[in-house]
Amino acid sequence: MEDSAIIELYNSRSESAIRETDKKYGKYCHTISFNILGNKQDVDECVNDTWLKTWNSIPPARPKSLKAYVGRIVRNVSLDLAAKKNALKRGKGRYREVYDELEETLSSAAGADVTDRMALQEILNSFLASMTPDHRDVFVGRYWYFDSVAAISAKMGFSQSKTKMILMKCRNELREYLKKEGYDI
Amino acid sequence: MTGAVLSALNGVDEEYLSSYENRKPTKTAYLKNRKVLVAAAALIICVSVGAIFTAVSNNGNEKDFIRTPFEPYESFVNRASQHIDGEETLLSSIAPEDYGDCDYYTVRRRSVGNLGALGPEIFVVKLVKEGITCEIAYQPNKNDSSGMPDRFRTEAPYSESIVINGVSVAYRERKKLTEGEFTADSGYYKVICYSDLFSDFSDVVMNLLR
Repeated sequence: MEDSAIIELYNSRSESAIRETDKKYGKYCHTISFNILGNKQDVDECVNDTWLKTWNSIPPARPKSLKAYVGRIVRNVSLDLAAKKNALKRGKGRYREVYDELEETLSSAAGADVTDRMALQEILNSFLASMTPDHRDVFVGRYWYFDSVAAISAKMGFSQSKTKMILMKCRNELREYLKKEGYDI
Repeated sequence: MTGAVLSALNGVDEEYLSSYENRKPTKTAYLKNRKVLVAAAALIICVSVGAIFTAVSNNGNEKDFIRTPFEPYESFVNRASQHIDGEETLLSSIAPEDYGDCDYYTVRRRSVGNLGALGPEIFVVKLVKEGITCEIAYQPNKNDSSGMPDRFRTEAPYSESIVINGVSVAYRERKKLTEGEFTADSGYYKVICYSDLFSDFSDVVMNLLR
């Protein structure tokens, strides 16, 4: 079913909207959540929360891409749960690994002012726009989708060492970019 | 900061997400990657061996799993449960380790009735020992034979009921030789395992096979 038809189902408050969304994007959402959490029960919970949030937000929201919309919600919900689990040292997924990797580069920024999240979002978007397509895809694969280095390498057709090198370069560039934008790193 | 960056990345442009999503490695890029080649070769070998094993052990039915005496029980349960939707607990109940005494056995998950895949599910375990075959059908949470395929009903023709605690749980199938003629005992048993007779059940089966 086309995204527009599914969105119409949400607009007319038909519960089959959730079923159709699950049918079309359930696997996609499970993959994102599982990359972050690594636990089937948690993933099921997050995906269910995602459907509920989608149901509660459309309407009034009318996303251009339903895939990106539910992807963002499930990533957000999963990151929240992963942060809670990691605080309790119970995390199983790739969240800790990816977080630590990024933390190495941004370590001294623990006290940086990030109260303006929208501004940070814009800065990250312009940072991504400044990258080469290959580097950007590797960065997005790792830090948005939480994919493993092996999975990214296979997708990009790179060796794992090349992917790791690109990631390191991207992190350093991000650090410099944030510094230039006035973040205290 | 790290958490904030990971969180703020949620708002990246959709085109960046789809660009990564739609990435497909080029053939040459794949070939350049030696590790991918090695992994692909290993995968081909595994798939081939798996296909041969499946073809041999499943006798053409991909939901049947044969366990020979050579395979450790845990390995069998792991292998079979992956294909029976992770029903490991149920699997160890209907195909317990005791049955390892058999020459081999198979476990099969089937939907029955007119509803196709939506119909009630039964588990069929087939045990073979020294020429005697015992086929067990188990329908979770049922204590009668309703929903069972006809061939598992105790009232099926040419059969002799075996009664435990006043309930017909099994029948011995008489082998039909020619039209209207059959032997007294073909050594082929069909058993229905009822939920509340579980404790007696294992003994019944083992006795039939002794």
